[in-house]
Amino acid sequence: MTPVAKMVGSNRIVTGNGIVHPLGDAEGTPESEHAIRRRILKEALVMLTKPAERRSESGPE
Amino acid sequence: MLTLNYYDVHNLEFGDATRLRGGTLTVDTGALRTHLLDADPRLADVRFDLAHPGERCRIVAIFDTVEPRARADDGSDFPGVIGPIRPVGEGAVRVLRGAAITMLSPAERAASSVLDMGGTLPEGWRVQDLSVYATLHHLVVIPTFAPGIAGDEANNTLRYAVLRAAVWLADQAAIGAPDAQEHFELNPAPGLPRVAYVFQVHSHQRPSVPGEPIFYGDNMRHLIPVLVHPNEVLGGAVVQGYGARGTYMLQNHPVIRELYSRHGVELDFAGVVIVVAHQTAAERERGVAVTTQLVKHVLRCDGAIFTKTGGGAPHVDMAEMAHQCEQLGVKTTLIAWETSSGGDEGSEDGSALFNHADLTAIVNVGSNGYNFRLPPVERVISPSSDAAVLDRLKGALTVTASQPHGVLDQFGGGRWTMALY
Amino acid sequence: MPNPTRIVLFLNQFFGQLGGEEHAGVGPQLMADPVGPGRALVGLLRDGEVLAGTLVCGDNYFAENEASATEALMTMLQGLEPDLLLAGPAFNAGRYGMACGALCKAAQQTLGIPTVSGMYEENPGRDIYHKDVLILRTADNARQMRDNLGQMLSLGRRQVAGETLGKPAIEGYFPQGRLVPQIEAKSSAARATDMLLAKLKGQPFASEVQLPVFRPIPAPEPVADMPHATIALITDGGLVPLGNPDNIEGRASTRWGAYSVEGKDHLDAKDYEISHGGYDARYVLADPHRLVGLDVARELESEGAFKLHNAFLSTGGLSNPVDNSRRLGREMAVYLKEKGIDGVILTST
Repeated sequence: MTPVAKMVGSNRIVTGNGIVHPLGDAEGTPESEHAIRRRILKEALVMLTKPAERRSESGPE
Repeated sequence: MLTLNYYDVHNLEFGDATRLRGGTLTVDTGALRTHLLDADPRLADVRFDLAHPGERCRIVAIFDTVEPRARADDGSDFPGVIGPIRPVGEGAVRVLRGAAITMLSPAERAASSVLDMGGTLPEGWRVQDLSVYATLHHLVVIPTFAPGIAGDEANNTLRYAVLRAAVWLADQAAIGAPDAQEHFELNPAPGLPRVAYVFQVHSHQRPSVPGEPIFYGDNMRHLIPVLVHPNEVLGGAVVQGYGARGTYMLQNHPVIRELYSRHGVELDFAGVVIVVAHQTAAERERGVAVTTQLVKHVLRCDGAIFTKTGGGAPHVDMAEMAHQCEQLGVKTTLIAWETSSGGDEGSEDGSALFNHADLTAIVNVGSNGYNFRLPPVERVISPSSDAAVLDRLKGALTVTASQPHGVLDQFGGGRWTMALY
Repeated sequence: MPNPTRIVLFLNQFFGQLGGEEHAGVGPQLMADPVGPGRALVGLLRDGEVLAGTLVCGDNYFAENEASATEALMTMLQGLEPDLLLAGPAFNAGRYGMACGALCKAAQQTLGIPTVSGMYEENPGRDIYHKDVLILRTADNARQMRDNLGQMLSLGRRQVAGETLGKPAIEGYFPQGRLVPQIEAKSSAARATDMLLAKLKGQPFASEVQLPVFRPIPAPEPVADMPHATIALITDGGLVPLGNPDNIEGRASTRWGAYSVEGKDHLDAKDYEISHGGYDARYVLADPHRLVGLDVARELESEGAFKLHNAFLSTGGLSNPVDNSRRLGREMAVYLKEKGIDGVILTST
């Protein structure tokens, strides 16, 4: 849940494909699910090699 | 205008005919059994039991509780499920007030739900003060499925059966002049603040399945927010998804009734926005966008009340919708359970799943981590016939807050809360 | 006649009439006669109540010598045989508020007497001490000093009498961070409507839920050489080996596990189960890669994208109090550092 990740201060967030199958798709085919998984994991790897795009939006305590 | 004709039930018993006389509702269970089994071959058998307010009786494994209601005119009962799909916000409905049909489920998911009809907890709380269900007379229905009926097919069977029983009972017994009537009509209320109710009906953290009827019979799987008149909810257009347990609360929707009671006096009840908590980000965002436009620009609201259903993830959908409304100048109040306590005393270091600073008005319906210590009872109504199981269920039980039926009520009907000190 | 209720007042150098900022370094002292607000306080006392003495300390002195100043003031306080300590009100004066809070907390702990202070919401003393000390909500200025003293005195009296106080919003003190289960007079629907109408009218209301505040977390430096970096997969979706060998709870998990994927390029559904009650697990049970994407991770690894750590870490993210989650995260971080892992992909439901 991306808004929760942002709230608690995560700095690198990729949006998954849903709560019940973040790296898959219940309504897809094995091929489409594979494509989703590759896209998300590759995006995550790229994000790990770059400076974080965002700071947490919550202010300091 | 929707009119509810109340036929008051003060006692419930088995008998050889189905009738309401002098406040006593008599049920011919043989006839009801025939009606249910004839209607659906997925049911191999049903048996019945009774539970009354104040009894040291515990009902477990609850699928749903429904108030017996049947149209007084040629309108539709539970449109899209029992009756044909027609608008249901107008006309007259007969209500056996004080009675309830409670359907049990042998499935594991339902097993932990529990309703004590009498008794006092160690904190000094009486069960009647914790749950409206403890104040009703229950006709409990215990199903046996035909071979091979399991999972969602079984849930669907129960969903149809409990609604069918509710309609049948009211149709048979709610005859003649009602004891009382209540009319629901939203007359113009100029000059008063316009208030909408954003009603989150289902959470797709447990995605609804094909054939699971929730809104005019539709499963709302990819619902984009829709406007309805509050009478449609009161009139039976919305029933619970499988496992959500409280269709009675929708028929008597606490927020809708509360807003109606203040309409024309302190506020102008503008309408109801039906939403769901989606399980993908895009659908969540779409739901937020459409809801805020409906509330702000179509209903032209000054304020809105939000409720949620399901577990933790739906807090986020609700909070995002409310936050965007606030950004457009619509004042909001949220009703939610609080999530900070890992046990019996919560702390302000909450684990609420949102923290938008403009969500300044939140009512809490209790903590989902609280442990209720239920005292022993004299009788258990359960789908199980295992003596050891029944014996254990009769004894003192410790359950977490979402298990007692009707206590942690997310639609606003309960009075239990975690108060901030 | 029963013993009088002995009340002691604590003031800083300014309200103790020793002078302004230039006297903020003055050390602890005991004054027998009422000074400043103490005179107003005396006028509010009833029969059977006495102002036994006034303690004064400079704001800077206290801030710079907290332990010794507290000890000295406690000794003076003890000598007065107090039944109640009133500190301030400090309004928005930060050092004063911190001193009031610290003293009240110490008096409660060492002498076991009730205490009451008074502060403005933004006073850091409120933030630090509100859980331990009863603090009256005041404005950020001293214009209602007399009323504030009266309110503090009233709350103090009732505590001395052993009375349970009502809700903070009604009694006028800051919530102390405790949530207590109870049955309200009105339904939550009615309370919500009341709250909304108050909000619309601009009238005061009290939210029943305090929202959490999270500190920003400095972002670690990017992974410099990804093809040679070791990346671990983590999930809070509760995927565990069949049998849940580490007994990870399905709700409010207190444990986590590291599960080997050595030599594996896929997760066999029959070898795993889900311990997490907050989402419909059927899709992940049918194909665990929908949560822990080992198959694709191995593909990318074989394409030279990175090196995959030989285990995935797992716990449950359902209804977990934040403190618990923080601990689990720290423990996982220790493991990750020990194993020389450079980065993590965490999949959440």
